[in-house]
Amino acid sequence: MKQFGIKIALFGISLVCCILLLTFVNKTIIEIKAPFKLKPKEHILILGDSHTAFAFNDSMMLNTRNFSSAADSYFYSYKKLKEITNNNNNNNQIDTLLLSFSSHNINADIEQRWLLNNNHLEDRLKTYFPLLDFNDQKFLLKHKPIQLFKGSFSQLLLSYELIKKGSATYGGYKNLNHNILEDELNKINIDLKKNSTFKMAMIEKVYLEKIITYSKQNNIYLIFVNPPIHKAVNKDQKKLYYLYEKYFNKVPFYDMSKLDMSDDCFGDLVHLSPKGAKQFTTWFERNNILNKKKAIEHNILYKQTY
Amino acid sequence: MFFNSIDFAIFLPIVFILYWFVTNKNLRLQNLLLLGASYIFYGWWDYRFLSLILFSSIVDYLIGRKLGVEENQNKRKGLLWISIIVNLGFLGFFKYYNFFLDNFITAFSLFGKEINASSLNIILPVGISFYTFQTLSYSIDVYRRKLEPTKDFMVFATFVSFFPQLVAGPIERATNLLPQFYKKRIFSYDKAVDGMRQILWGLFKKIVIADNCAYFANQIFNNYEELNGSTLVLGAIFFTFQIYGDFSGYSDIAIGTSRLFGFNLMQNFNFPYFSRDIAEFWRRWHISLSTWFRDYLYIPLGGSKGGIWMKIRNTFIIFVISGFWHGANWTFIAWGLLNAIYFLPLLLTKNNRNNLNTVAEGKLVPSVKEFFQISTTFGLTVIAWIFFRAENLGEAFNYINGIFSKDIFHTPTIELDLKLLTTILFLFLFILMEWLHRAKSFALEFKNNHDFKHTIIRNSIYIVLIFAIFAFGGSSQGFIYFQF
Repeated sequence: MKQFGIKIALFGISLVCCILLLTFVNKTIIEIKAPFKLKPKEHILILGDSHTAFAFNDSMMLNTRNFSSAADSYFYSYKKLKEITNNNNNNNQIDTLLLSFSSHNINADIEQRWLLNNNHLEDRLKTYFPLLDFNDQKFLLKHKPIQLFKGSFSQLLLSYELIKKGSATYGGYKNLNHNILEDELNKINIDLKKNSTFKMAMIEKVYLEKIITYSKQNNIYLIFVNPPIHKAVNKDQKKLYYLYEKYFNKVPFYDMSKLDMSDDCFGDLVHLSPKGAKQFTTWFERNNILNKKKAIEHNILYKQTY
Repeated sequence: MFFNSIDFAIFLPIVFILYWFVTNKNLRLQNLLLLGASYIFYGWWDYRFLSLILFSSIVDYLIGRKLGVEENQNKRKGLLWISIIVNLGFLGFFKYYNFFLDNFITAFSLFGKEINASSLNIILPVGISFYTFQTLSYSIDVYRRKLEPTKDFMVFATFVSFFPQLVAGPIERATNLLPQFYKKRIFSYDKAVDGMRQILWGLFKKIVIADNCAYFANQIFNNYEELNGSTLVLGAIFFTFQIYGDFSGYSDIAIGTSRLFGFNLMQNFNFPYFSRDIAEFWRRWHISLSTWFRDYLYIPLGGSKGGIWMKIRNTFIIFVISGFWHGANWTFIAWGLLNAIYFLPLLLTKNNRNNLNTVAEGKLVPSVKEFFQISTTFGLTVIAWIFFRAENLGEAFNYINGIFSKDIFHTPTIELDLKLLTTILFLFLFILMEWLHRAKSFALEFKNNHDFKHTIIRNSIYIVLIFAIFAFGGSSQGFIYFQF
């Protein structure tokens, strides 16, 4: 029995060593492939979920890099922000951060799906595991120990992902390839009922606050952005505005959700189609919306209502 | 509790430690621990059905005791029938009640008679087909005086509910398993290590092979009407490996777990897809069920001893009942019938015992003839599995019709993505590993050479398998055989 126990322990240790070695190899690959390295002139960063990923076509924007990714929670945005600033810290290259801020990002239900859902987490940890620091691991150990354990093995696929996708492994502008607006308009009443009662995502709130603090510490001008959504749903955002004013009102908030855009600019109710993204990005760039005065002129800087 | 769940990963070490460190000095205490653990294991799904196992255990225990002392042959027969009726009665009610009711209604409606009867919403107790057959084997063996009835109820209840094989086999014979509960178990390093290996191999089969194949098999079977012939062939092959990985994986984990506790269960699968004919396939597939039917049904019916019609009758009975044992659906009966049709020519021409040895024994590759035989047998089983997988007979026939269409030689319309590539790669490695170790009882069975080189090779294989399980495991599916 003693021999059996020793052998099992030794095997366990060798397994842990393999995981550590794999993590080290993956960290090295990340350093070599440098997926977070920006071009020298790129100083505006866009982070967030599918709203920003499908809205801001960074190939049409000056000195801007979109690193948003569908179903990205603030947990991952925070990780990316840190990696990107650490990889591009010459003269504090990043000076502006546009961060997706919509009902989706701070909804407790969505938090369950985008942060705490087992399958989603397992999928994300394939690429994010080597980037986890001690605090992240502590957080996951507390909330999702099994997924963290699985993630330590599933990072095996990271090198494949990096070779195949490069920096797109961690996000980037994407053309929305579905067109389901009509279907969604037909069932809109059911969805509106669901959305109007959402609760604040408490873990996401913590990570959003971390992003705010981190941006301040690194002299990054943080702007919340809410890209256009279809007119059928853009009026029902009271809860979002309420939570913004309650918790985050120091951060400038560009609410572009009510921009008037035609139906063919949407792939669904809350995401822009490639045509919509092109139109929106052009408008954003041409009117120099980043400039606060211009934002005010175009009536997109959020004004306190509560 | 699923073997591939976190619950079991916590449960097993706890029971193991209690078994070898706390209760190891007292055999009765060890048995009591196994009984308690088995009831917890089973009750994890639905504690209400524990009463069913307990009732079945009490009935068969009492009947066994009575059979042991009763000399009157008629009374003994009567006792055996009570056991059969009680056990099969439960099985019939929970598993087949709705099937028979629906078919009676349909049959009567064909003659213009309408019957008003509604189906019951019956939950099928997990593993009922397995433990029912296990307890039945006890009663029959005691009746045949092959086995002394046990006087110890706790031992008998543990035998019936022994958690590693309770819900999906192997269906153990009382003559093999029951005596093991009387003997003091001594921890054996080699046995425990072997058990761990078999558990690992079983998990690999289930999580990497079966669950990944299930993903593609489900996709193809669910959309078979829109897919071309070659894709349907792929779907059937994926299911063929899914069912094997799923069920033999479970058996491997069950056998391996038992070995950790010092028990030996019978081998349930013996590399069936390397069989050279259907008779050999049935000697290698679900061995515990096949031999159960052979010993308790086929031989009492006369086996292959009588005339030609008797042989044909018995073959059909055994295969049809075997099919029906799997589920209350005509598809399973069709699957059994088809296997009977495959098997019968071999029996009638006395070629059913041609291939008793291991294929290509001592050689690395099979001969051309053997390769052809293996491929043909595999092809036949693939077609039969379509009936097993289909929702109904119509779907099975349409699926087969779809395979033998003009576009069978077209490229499959399934997207060649990373998931498909890794699944094919692991299937290839899996078949290779099974082929290389086909003369052993499972593919990861190694000699315990303690020299450095062998230890490194073995441990590397274990680590690769563990990484494969966690990194490439398919999304968790229940074990198919739980529903039987």
